Amino acid sequence: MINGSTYHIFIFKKLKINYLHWLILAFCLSLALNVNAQSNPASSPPIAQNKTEVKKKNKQQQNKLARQNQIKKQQQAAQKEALNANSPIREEIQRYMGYETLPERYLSLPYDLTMNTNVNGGFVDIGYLLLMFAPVILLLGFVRKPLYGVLIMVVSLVVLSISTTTSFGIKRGIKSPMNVDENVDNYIEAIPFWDLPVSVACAHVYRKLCYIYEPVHQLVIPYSGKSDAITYPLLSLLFVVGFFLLQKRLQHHEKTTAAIVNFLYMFTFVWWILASGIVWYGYLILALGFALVVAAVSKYRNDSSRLKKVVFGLFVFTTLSWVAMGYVYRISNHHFVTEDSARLMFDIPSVKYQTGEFDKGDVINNLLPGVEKALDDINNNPDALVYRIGTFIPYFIRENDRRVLQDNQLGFFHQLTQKFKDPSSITEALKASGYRYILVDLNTASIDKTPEKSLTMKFSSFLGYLSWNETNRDLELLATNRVITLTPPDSPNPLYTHGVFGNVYKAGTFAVYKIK
Amino acid sequence: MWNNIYKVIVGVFIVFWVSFVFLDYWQNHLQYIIAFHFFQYLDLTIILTLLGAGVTGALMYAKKSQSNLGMWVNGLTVFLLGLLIILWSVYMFQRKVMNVDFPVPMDMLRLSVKMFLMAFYTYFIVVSCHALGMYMLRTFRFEMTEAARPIVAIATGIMTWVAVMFVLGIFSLLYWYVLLGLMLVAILITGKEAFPFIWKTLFAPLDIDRVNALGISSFYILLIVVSLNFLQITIPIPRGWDSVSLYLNVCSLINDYAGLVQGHQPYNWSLFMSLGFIIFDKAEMALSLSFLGGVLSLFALFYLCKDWLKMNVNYALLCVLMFYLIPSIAHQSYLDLKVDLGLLFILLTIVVLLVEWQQRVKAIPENTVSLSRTYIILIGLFSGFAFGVKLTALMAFFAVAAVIWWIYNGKTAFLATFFMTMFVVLFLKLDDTPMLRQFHLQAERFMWIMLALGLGFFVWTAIREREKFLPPLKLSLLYTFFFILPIAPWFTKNYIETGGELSTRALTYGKTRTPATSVRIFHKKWEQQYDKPRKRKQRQQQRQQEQKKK
Repeated sequence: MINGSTYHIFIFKKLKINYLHWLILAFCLSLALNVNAQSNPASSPPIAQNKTEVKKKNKQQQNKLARQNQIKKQQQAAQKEALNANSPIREEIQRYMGYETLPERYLSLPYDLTMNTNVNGGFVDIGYLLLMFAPVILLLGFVRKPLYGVLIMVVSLVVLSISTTTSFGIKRGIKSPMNVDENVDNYIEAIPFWDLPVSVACAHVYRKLCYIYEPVHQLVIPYSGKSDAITYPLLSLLFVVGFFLLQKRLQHHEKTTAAIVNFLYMFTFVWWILASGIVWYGYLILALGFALVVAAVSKYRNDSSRLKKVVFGLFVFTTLSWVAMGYVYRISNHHFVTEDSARLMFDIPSVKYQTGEFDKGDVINNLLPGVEKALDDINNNPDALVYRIGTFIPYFIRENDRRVLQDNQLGFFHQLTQKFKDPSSITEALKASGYRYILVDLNTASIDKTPEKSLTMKFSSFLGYLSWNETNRDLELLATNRVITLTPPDSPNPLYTHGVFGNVYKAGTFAVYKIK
Repeated sequence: MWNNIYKVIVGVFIVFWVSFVFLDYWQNHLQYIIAFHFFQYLDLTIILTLLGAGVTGALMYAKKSQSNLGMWVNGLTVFLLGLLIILWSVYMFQRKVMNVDFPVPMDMLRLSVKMFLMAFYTYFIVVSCHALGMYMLRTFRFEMTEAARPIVAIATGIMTWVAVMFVLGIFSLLYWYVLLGLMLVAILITGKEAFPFIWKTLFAPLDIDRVNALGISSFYILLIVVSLNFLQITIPIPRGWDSVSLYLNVCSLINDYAGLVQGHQPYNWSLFMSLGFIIFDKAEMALSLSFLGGVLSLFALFYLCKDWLKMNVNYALLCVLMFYLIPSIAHQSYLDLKVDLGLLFILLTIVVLLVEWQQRVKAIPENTVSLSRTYIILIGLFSGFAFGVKLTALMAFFAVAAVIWWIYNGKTAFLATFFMTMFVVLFLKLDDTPMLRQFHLQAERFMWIMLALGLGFFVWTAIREREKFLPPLKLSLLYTFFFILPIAPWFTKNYIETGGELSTRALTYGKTRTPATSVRIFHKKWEQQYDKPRKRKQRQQQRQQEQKKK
């Protein structure tokens, strides 16, 4: 029994806590609004105007032209800007996060990481289980509290709508996310359902989600753009609201569990704002996230609630699928495209090494044919410096920390092109500073995801430089695994030879040049 | 009725959400569809399934019949089963790709010997780490549960060895005979710790009483994956981009110089991995020590599933398997071996310690103060060590600090820590490292608001619960001090390298020996060597022409 005074204290404490909650929320809200009002208008109007223009149907043609001009100008400005300082980080690091409007860039991150929207490949693939079950587990804690449940569902759908719409746009190179709806319609019309049932079914969902996305985007865009003053307050506000939801969800759990979940929550938030979407910086989130998902859902097996039993059934199905997919993917060649290459579960040189048939030198020769001679040359000139764009060849160069200048995103080369007028002067400048070798990864531009394609531009400029110098005999090609075809004047049959420029027969990965 | 309608809505939402994410994932990852479509190893899968079924059947029989068969289920037989999986896989590969009809005995023998030696060397390092770690834990009278001890001991051992290597590295003493000698001495001196560990991990029967078919199959698939990963890292040159251009390169340079490498962010795990080059003179051993981080993380995760989340052992094994099958984790386990899985192990050890701390405080509330102090010291040391593995571990620092405050003062203090974290992030411009700051306008104003909120909430906490305010404050200071302690040597090294620079960048990255990248210097040298002589020559030629004309 609770006596009168205790009851009053209890009520008072409860009120005080509620008061605290509302105060924090109000504080954050006012903070967000305050910063909103002061956000820099210069950064956002063009996009807001674009949006308004698009909707005026009678001026469609004129607006289209104006918009194209504007986009062209913006692209040129962005290219110029990107080619200057910071572009290596923009090209290398920020590609994991994407280049959307700022709040959308952050909000779409969980979906983007799961679906590999921005960067594709096994190294960034985190599976579907976390995105699939995190909101479900949160929601199932509020079966008796509809207000919280509805809030979770609404927020989930809004975030999903932002994610699917921007993701569809990114994957198909659609510049404005407001045009995604038309493109989804085109896609649905163009592809019969039974040709690609899963894709078309998903496209129908994307289309419906566009109805949620558009008003949200319109609401945000007057205050936002590629840069803004609202994203940090918005994310902080989300953190605070999410924190209170989480505390409600955890109120009947052990203190240890709540402590670790709060630890994970804080860690995840800091990762969210600092890691630029790089998956491996947040492996801890995956490990603890999987543990929490399995722990929560496995308990539903013996629960009397039908809803929880359904979730358990879904969990069993998706988990078994995950194990099957993981196993098949693991026992296959990840890079295959044909039935033959699918057999290459291992590398042949590696297996030969493991079974004692090959030694280290044989493996190097097999993986990087022709490089051994070039390496001997480089290692026999210990004072000669090496200019390197990508490639892992420096690993084989002695004292590479002293000798090798790394310019993977060509930021330094771009500066050189600004300072020196012609390719010959650049070579002279390299030579004057002690450089005698150039190592280049021939696929450098393949990582470029920037909208302005700055790395691609720099790399093509660099290839132009190499080509010019190769022709003028300022550079000597020591090794490459690219194969080109030459057609001699007196013979109809092409000749296959190692080279960088010409008719490329096999793209290859690297080239080693010596500065003469 | 409304409640039922709400439940129906929730049900529909859940089914929609799960189905959509599943289908969308499929259509965005065509590699899985292709993998199924072109799957070439059905025969190997059948053989492995039969082998697995045989093992499962034997274990089930052993459980039911109370026979002695269970005695044979130990670390050594698990290793032999893994070796069998490797041999079968390689043979099937040779059959398909290299036109080998029957297994070549010498090939298989050489492969077995190589895998055995790799495993033995790696195990030797683990034993030495465990022995040293246990010695340290006992010396400082650090108590914890039986289940958590091996994990924390190995992590402590790794941390201690890295500290020893750092000191030796300063004096360029990182030679195989020095390190091997020290390791053998450590094992012999701490024989009391080492030999029971060897017995337990290799020969003592594994507890399979509560393991059912789900658990055994999860464990078996996990063993297949671990074995294949282990096979694929047995290569003389690393394959992944980051691995070969940074992490393994640093290890290789440490070996070349027999000492520390100038510059770079702190590289604790690379120092640990360099043991592979220094003692065994093999790149694959360095790779194996990177791979070890992943395997140790699985043990730590298993502990958390079982002892923290009280999961049934079968679900715990399933969870560990699901985690290890994540392609990104697989990628770092056999393709691009870096330090992230090592870092994960250290971070999971911090979580293990947080769990142990809370559980022990709950069990012995009268010792709360001393227990908290001891645990926070160790958590601080591990956090600092993790920061020395990769700077991104700073995220864990903020999270631990927030949890300390939450444990004592609840939500208000947690929020206060959050606001202060935001302030620190913005003040130190941590968001400028990935160049994200440029997108956030008026971040400075926001930073001061965060500081005001953080201080306000702390003051509120202090006023509301004055007696509870001091313990987390003291623990936070203690935690920060022990966080800085393992980092201080790296900062000092970088400070010296940069000639006394005190900026954040200088302290964290030091100064590499890489050639300078100043266009101005390039231009100056070019002018001296080419441009000026050329102009001089031109002027001379002009003068000569003028003279001729005259």
